Amino acid sequence: MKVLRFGSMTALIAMSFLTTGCWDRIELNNRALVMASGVDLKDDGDLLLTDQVILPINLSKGLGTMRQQFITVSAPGHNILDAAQNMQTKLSRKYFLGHRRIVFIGEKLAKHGLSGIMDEFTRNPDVRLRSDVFVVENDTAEHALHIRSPLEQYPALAIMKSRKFVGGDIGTTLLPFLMASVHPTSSPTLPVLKIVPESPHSSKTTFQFMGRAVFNKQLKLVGYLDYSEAAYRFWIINTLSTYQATFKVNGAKESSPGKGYATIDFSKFHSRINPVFEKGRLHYTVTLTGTGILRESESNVKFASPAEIHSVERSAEKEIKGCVSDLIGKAQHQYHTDIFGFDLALAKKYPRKWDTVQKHWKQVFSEVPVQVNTQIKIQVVGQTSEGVVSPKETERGQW
Amino acid sequence: MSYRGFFNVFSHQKLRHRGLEPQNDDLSGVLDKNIDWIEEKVKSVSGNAADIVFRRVELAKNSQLLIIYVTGLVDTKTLNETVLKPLVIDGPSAARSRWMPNGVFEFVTKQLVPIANVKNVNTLGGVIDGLLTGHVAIIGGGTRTALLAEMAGWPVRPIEESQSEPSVQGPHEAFNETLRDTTALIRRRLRDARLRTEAMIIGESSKTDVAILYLSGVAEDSVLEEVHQRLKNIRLSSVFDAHYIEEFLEDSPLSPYPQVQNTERPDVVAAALLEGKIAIAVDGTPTVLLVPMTFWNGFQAPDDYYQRPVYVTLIRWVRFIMLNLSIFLTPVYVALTSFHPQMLPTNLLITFAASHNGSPFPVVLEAFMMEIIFEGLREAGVRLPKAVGSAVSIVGGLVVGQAAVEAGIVSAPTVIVVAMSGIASFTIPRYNFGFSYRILRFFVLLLAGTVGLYGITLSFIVILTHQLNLRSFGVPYMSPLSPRNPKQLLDVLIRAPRRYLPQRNRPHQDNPGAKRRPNSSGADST
Repeated sequence: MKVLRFGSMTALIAMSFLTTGCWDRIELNNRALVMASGVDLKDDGDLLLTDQVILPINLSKGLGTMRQQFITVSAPGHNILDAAQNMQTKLSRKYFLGHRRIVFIGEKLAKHGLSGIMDEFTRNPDVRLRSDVFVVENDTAEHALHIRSPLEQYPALAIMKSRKFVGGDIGTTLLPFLMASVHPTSSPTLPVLKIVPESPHSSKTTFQFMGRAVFNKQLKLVGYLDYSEAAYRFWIINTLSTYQATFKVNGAKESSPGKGYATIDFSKFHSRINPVFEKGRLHYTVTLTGTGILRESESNVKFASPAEIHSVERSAEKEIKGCVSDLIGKAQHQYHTDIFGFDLALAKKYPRKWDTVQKHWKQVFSEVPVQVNTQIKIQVVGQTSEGVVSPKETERGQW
Repeated sequence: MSYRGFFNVFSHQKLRHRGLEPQNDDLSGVLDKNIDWIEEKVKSVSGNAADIVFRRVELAKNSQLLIIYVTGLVDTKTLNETVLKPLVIDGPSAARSRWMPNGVFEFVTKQLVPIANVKNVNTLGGVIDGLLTGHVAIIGGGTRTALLAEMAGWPVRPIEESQSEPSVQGPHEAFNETLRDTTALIRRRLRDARLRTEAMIIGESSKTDVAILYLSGVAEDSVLEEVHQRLKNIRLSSVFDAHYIEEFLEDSPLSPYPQVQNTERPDVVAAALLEGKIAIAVDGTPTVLLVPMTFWNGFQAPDDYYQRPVYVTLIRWVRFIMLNLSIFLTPVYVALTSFHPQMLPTNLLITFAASHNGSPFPVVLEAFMMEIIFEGLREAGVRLPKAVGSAVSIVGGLVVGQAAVEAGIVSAPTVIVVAMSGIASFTIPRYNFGFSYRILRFFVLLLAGTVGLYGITLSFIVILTHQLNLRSFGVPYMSPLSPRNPKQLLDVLIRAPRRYLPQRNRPHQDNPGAKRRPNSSGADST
């Protein structure tokens, strides 16, 4: 009796597994692992989805790494999932987005607006929120996905890694973009890549990490920030991790072009955005502080006394202050997009005033005066104080 | 107390328990016949067994003694020295010169036989029982009693190194199959008058001696009572090993977890006795059972106490990690590759995908196949003669491991994962504790292959619930972690330096209110 009951219990438990239809097991052999996608706007208004799918058979032992390890497939569609379904008809394995690390967006689609495709990114549970979205400057995503990068197994990942080594973490694009998109006043940005020749005379092309694409509240591309502008923006919003600032040192002879530059490799960054109401008028003070190591100096500064180091620090401060002011001006007057979090700073400090300002923030932002202060500190001047080339020879312009 | 005294005790108990006298008329109250009649009787009862020896000694005129023993069970040298020599050589002259008011037999037993452990029986049944337990029976015709001299000397294995619980730095000796050696080895380590040894006989045919050992005043009375109760309820015709009894001692015999710890090391038994555990030694087996057992006893190797505490702590954590790997590694691998590939790092997934490419079976089936083959290899390695063992490892390692992968029948990661979990299960120091995890691995694997990580979570909950519900003689299996007893945790997740260890690490009891009686005299038998 007891045995019988045990047996029937076991059978019931087994049946509960076999009859629920909860069988979403898909063998690896039946999955098409998508490593990268690209979305373009076609001339007829439809989307063109392009995917880089890995070819595991070419990764198998003994075949070496010479053979191409991915295929690039495109499919059109009215929206992303329509295109994905068309894509599935071209693939013999189940389309799997769980490992898609990177999405390219063609410039045409970016200018047309991303609000349509972003819906799918937020709705589809397969999409990783920790993926990176890049705008392909002046080209299509489909083209970008055909570029080979000799250093990487999966070329699409190359641009992600180059971005990582110039100061951006992998997988930190999509989520901030979506957060800024849904915020009433903030404007989202995306990193940018460009297809460039490997060297001026090379016929081969490669990716280059360019900086940042600025979108307005309708998620339409309004313009680009170059690499250093993007870095200064990160400095302002306190997320910069590494940057080398190159500037002209005061006192370098004007007559020697291309000389007199110094580079500071910053290791510590901080910024403070301070909105101030003075006599009923709003203005902002942005204070950037940075500490770094002097890596290169082609000037005749000897770095023998604190005063000399201070003078170089002043030059750096002046240069950075100029760049940052230009950047803020560009965002204010050219793009009319708040990409610095000025709105958040104001809302935090003056919540009541923010309620009244919020409605016409775009206009307020474009007109608000901004005072930029910089405080740069050189911690170490490197292994030598004086340059190996004597100042006299430098003046003569000999190397 | 020597082991001889111990045997004295068990014989009385045996007579009491088995009640041999009234059962068989042939064997009761007939010792006053002459020795020819007794010899005939013993021969007929034993079916004229070839190994029963009858030897007659004439001490004086018309005064013969009959000496009966079973060859092989009696130490012949001692027999010659202590029985035959005095009786044959010194006996006649002594008998002539002495006055023997109570007859020859009384004189012999009182003055001639220099043996420590003798006793008188007055039934034929008692004589036969004595013969079968290694006694020499000396019977004088016409007297009512027979003298049984304990002279057991059957072939025994010497004390050797432990096979199943080897130790690097600690003591190396292990029990052999003789109960009195077992008790002697324990007593040699615990020179404590509180050490109690109780004897029982279990098994209708085998009549196996079983000894219960504990430290009086340290062992819980309730546990001791339960041990008595469970041992008494055993109805078996034979007990050839401690594991025959182990099944009857367990609270839940169908649980995958062992609830009785077994060991063949005297040092482990001695330490356990000091912790308040109760040891059950069975004659004819080198294994001693220890109750109650907790989950954490499965982790503790004898060497843990013979090495430096910092190192032991590290090793315990390695064991703990390995234990979890042994049960969850293969299932997690199956679940991740077939249900949740997005959880794997991309490069790892690509590697998996590359090696799975072209393999004909689903991952879960591969894993099942390899697990079963691995268990088969292990079993073959254990059962086969040592000379053939290397062939098994060659076949197992090369054919299954390498050729199967190269032929594309199984994928390489599956082989690696199964091998790793197999090795992980070997890090569990208690042999029988490792079994439980091998069984559970199949259970978890089945669920992982059916419903993925959900199944693993489910099985984890089921296993944990079972562990927490399990009790060994009233002691929760997971104690002292749950219910928590912080002081005792010093010897569970870590091995604290000895000076911080509680001196008597007693297992947690369910009813802390119940006070132990100061001297558990009722349970003492000696």
